[in-house]
Amino acid sequence: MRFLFVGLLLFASTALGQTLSLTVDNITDTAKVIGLNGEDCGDKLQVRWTLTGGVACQDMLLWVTKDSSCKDAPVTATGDYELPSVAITSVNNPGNLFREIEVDKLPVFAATDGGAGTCSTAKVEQTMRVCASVKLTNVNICSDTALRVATPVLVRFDTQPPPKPTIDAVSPRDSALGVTVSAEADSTVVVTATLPDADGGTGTVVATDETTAVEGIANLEGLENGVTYQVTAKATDVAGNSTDSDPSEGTPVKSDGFYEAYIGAGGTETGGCGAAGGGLAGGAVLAALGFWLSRRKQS
Amino acid sequence: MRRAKALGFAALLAALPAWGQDTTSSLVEEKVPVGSPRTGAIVLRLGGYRPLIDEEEALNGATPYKDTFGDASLLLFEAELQRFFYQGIGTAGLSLSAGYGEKYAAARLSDGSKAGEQTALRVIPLGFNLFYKFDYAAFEWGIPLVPYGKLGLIYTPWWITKGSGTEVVGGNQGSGGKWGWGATAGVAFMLDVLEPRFARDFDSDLGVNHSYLFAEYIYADVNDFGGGGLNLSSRRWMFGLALDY
Repeated sequence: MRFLFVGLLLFASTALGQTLSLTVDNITDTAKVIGLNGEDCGDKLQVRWTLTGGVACQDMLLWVTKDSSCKDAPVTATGDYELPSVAITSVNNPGNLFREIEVDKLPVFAATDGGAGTCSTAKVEQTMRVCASVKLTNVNICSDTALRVATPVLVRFDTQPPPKPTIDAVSPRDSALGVTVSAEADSTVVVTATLPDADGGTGTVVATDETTAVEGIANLEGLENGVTYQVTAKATDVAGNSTDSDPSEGTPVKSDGFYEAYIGAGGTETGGCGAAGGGLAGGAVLAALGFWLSRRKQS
Repeated sequence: MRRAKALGFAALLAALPAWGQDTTSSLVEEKVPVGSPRTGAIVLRLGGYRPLIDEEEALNGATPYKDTFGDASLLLFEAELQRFFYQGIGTAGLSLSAGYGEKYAAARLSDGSKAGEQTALRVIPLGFNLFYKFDYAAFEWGIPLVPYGKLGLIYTPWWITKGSGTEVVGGNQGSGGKWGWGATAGVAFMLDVLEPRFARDFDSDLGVNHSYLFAEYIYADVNDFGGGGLNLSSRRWMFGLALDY
């Protein structure tokens, strides 16, 4: 009984420290979705791996799946795209070895995948997982249980443009415009202020600001008060597909803050130099405080 | 001879218990300290701060503060560290304090209506004070009220923002610092009387000798000693918690 307990403990302690991780195209942030679209069909993604805390006793399997999680091995019946396996000797010490995912072989294009036609003609939006699994030596025995990749890398093939972003409000500010936008959740939004040409042409871009769909607020600064600008927002998803919003308009207006109101009322405060003196005084007070506290610590 | 030895042994036995007995005359009364030493205090306070900006002479009765922020005060939070250098009939010492307050309002358009951006006044009052508190009555007679007073130097860095940056008017940056002085009078209620045992534990566990709730009135002239410009003087009440350590 005691040996069983010790054995379980040893097994558990080993298992706790075993990690298999992947990077795709050297992107280490596994929370980042790798976006692809029809323009990437001829590309290949490099997959590299790191195994820590264990020694491989079988070849490592690598594959791409549409499933919501990685299994112990690829399931060909559901169309998983299997990459060449990695020999035992290269699992722990891959060196510069890598495997490649050919974009046009992703499991979304064939009719059996639910897609239609080829990579360049497909109209799909599908998130996939890059998976790996390997069996490890445990007390000189090859374990029956496979170690799966800790956090699968997400790859999204998307040919669909995001929904048209909406400019909810354009708030006039002093030499600036505040723009509130709504867009698809994972998209990046670039908001642009354009000064239309007199003849109604495209005009000149005078200010841009980038925001996210989550933040939804952009500030266009450096504008001229009293001039009406055309405001547009372009939402771009992770795969690089983009959609423009309908144009909106905004006119920056001069506003008075409290200091302007104070000066306008006859106030004589000019600030500036006082701040420098104050910095010195504040520094002196802080120095005195530090000295005082250090004396307290020594006593 | 045998009888003499027996008597001697009996006398020795009789004397043994007496060795462990102290006579009253040999007792020395020692004073056992009932608390940890007091060396200073930490004070935290909160209150409304309405600077007397509108009383600047150059404004000739105009009220830019009231027009922008209304009658509302800034919510000011301050922390103060006190160091005692006299403990006898009361306690005297020096203190350093620092605080922060801010007030936001909508900027105004030329027609007086509200703009889409905010303007704010922010201050960091710093103080260096000499103080005295009459806590003798609390310690010696058990009266839990401690009146106190402070007198000190004040320096208040300030800045005014509009939108996301410091406001600039006519090339002048809306920021600076004002010197002044202040006097404070207050009264503190010693909380120890409510839970004496808890107060003793607080001292033995954390070294906090006494704790107080207090109210104080501050008279502060912060206008570069009459030098003009932004008048950050105030007359205000503050309330808070003080911990002697």
